[in-house]
Amino acid sequence: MGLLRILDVNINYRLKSKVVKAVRNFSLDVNEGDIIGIIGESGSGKSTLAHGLMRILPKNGNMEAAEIVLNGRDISKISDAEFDELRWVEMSIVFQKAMSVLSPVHKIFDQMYDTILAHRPETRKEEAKEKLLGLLSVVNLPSEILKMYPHELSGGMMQRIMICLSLIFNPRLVILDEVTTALDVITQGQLLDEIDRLVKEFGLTVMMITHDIGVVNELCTKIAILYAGELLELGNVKDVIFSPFSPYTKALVESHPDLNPHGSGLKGIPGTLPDLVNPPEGCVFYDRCIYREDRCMERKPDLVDFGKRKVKCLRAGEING
Amino acid sequence: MTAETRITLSRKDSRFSKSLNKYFSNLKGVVGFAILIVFVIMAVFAPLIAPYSPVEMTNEVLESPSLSHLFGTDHLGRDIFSRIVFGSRISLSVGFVAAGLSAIIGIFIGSFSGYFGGITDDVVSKVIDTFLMIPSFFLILIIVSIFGSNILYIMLIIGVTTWPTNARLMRGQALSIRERTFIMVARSTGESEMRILFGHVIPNGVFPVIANSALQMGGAILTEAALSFLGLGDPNLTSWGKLIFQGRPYMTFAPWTIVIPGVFVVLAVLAFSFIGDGLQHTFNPKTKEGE
Repeated sequence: MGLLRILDVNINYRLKSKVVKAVRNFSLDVNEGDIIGIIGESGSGKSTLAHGLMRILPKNGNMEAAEIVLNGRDISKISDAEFDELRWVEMSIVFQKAMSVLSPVHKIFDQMYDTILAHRPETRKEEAKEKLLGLLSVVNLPSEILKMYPHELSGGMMQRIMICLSLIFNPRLVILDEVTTALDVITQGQLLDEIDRLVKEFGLTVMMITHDIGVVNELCTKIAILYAGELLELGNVKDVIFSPFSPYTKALVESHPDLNPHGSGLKGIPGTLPDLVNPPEGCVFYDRCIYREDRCMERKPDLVDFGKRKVKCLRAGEING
Repeated sequence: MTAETRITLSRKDSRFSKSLNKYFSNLKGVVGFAILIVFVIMAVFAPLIAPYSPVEMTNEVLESPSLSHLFGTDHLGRDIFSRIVFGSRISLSVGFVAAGLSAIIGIFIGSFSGYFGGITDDVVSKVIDTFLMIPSFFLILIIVSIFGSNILYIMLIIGVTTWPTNARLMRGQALSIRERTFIMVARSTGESEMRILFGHVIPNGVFPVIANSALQMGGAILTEAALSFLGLGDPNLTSWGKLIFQGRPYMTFAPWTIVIPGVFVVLAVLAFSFIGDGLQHTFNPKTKEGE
């Protein structure tokens, strides 16, 4: 039994006269213990998906789903009040902009205590403090931090605090939304090591949203490739990265310095994302694909199951090599 | 790379002491604060400071300033210095109460309107605009002439007619703060809308309103003085404006009866205006210490 089962998610943003279809027909199964990396370029809908799952889309965003089953319960149709109760307790999220995630006028402890009180109103201050100190030591932060204000800390420390905050209620699923993007490479490396350790220590299931395929290669067990709001390829990390079936995955890997199988000569992917107001009838990657054929434009390919992986490409398997 | 990372902390000055330093690095702020402190001491310890009773009448009528009567005497032989000292109680409380009321109303209405947005915001904005359109001094005149000139009414009316500027400032702050990431985080960690409004939006956005309130305190003192000068002040209490009103018939041959209370009104307004400037300087992230 999977921990999270997402079926047929569609997320739209209403603009003045247009509707941007940011995520279309997205389905994903997450098993207990998976560390699944969701990869995509800017505008591919990866953060939208995370925010949609947490129901924190902006007011003009709208999500529809056939079902979203978390811990055996369909949470796609429950009311906002019911959702408020399980959010952060059963699944939590760590945000991208570490420096601006906490209010500048309150001390770190007060804000973390507020979160505890929101779900466990009877918690006493001493209990909360004890719990937070335990969590802080897990991410190697000194206890004095609780008395400090957000502006006194660095980006790496703030991101660690956010990770603590996300673990307060021991949720089984944690979404990491580009947690390392705003950090320098060294801090990034330390943080990734710590996340790796936490995952084992707490038995977490992680959805890691990032545009850095190297990070996914290092940390994740599974990978989902998102392009222009559609899932193009899903499978085990090593399989997908080292023998991609989808031309987009192949292009993505070839544009990453450490993973480029040919050793030298980085390739970019020419072109830009298709218009999400009127998404193409056929394959979304058609415009930029070097393996395209006429039939790719006529009909949207299905997500075909290849046993160990799923790929959305008519020529899946042919292009590898 | 090791998994263990040692982290050292360098404790910076707290936000409060930093702000305090910044405030007192501004000359205007220091001067305004000093004047205000003198006035507050005057008001609190009035019976100890005043050499005479403020209401005791003597035969020394309209004496010019001298050592025995520092600021002279008025037409009933009362010591003007003592009357100024006791009058500070009335004038300052008008400033504090009226501006405080105005700030509270403004903060609530403005933050509510800005944070929740939508139709609430449209309606509240129009109400704010309507209030800004009304010439408040004439509204105060009308209300005082209908309900009588109790000092409490005067404070309330000044407060109730000056809140729209505060509401506007607070609304603008709330509009920008509600889009910040920490509001989204607070919402997703399960904090209720009201908790976010009172715990995050108001504390983060209240600073311009505080600075504006200092200016409004001066304004309230001036408005009360103007009402008193027109004879619409509280008949039972002696504010600085009232002193000017009472000295008016004698100003040609005993100018101290109106000049001295006038100077105090000006000083009070100046002090609050300086404090307002100082606070604006403190809360503005673009200014640095000593500028």
